[in-house]
Amino acid sequence: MSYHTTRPHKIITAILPKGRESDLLPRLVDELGINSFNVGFARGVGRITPLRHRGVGETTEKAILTVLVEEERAQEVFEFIFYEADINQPHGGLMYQHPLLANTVFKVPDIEDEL
Amino acid sequence: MSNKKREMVVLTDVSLITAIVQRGKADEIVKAAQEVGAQGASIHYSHGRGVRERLGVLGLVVEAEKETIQIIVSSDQANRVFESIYRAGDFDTPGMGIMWVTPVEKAATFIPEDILEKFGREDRRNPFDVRPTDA
Repeated sequence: MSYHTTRPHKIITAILPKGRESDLLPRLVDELGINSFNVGFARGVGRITPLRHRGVGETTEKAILTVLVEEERAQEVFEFIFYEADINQPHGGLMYQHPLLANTVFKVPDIEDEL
Repeated sequence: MSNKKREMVVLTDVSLITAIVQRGKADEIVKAAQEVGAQGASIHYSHGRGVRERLGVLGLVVEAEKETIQIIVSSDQANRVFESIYRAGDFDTPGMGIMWVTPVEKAATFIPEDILEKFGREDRRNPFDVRPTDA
């Protein structure tokens, strides 16, 4: 088996209003050096979604961002996403963090820029 | 980072319920979950295989396209919501789906000020851990 379990990792998942991830992802790369993550799309159903607020409906489009980080960086990344994705604002989404029992390395090796 | 007022409320004692059901069933199931206290859910489409392939001709009644439902609930509510989903989704019928609960270390979202005040004042055992930080 070649997976690496040398350092404990956490998985952070953020459910964001669709579109908000497009600004956040480059910042994760540039400011935190996180160059590997996964983004999926879903529909969100809630009691107080913006559409329901306007009486239009209760389903909104969501982006689900999943990031795997080393345990010692988890708090930093969690806070970064929380504030920079405006999760602390109304209708800003939700995020959560899981511990992991084992994982592979979720990191792209450094590659020199091509000229 | 911006200079907005910083206050992160971290929710602990939270569980994630994940249910994989036949396509078209999710809305009914989420409604059942909301009736017993779940605040919301996210749903995405997926594709699965399992009992459908073993049922032969009868397998045609099992939809191969799936909906994956994810619901975050407080750990206190987890059993109640889980049972409600189980009943609404007919999980005791083969081919209807599968569901599980995973522990969540912490969660964060926007929490209105009045709710924060209510928990802070009335319930000293509240699950909210208020952590103000500087701008």
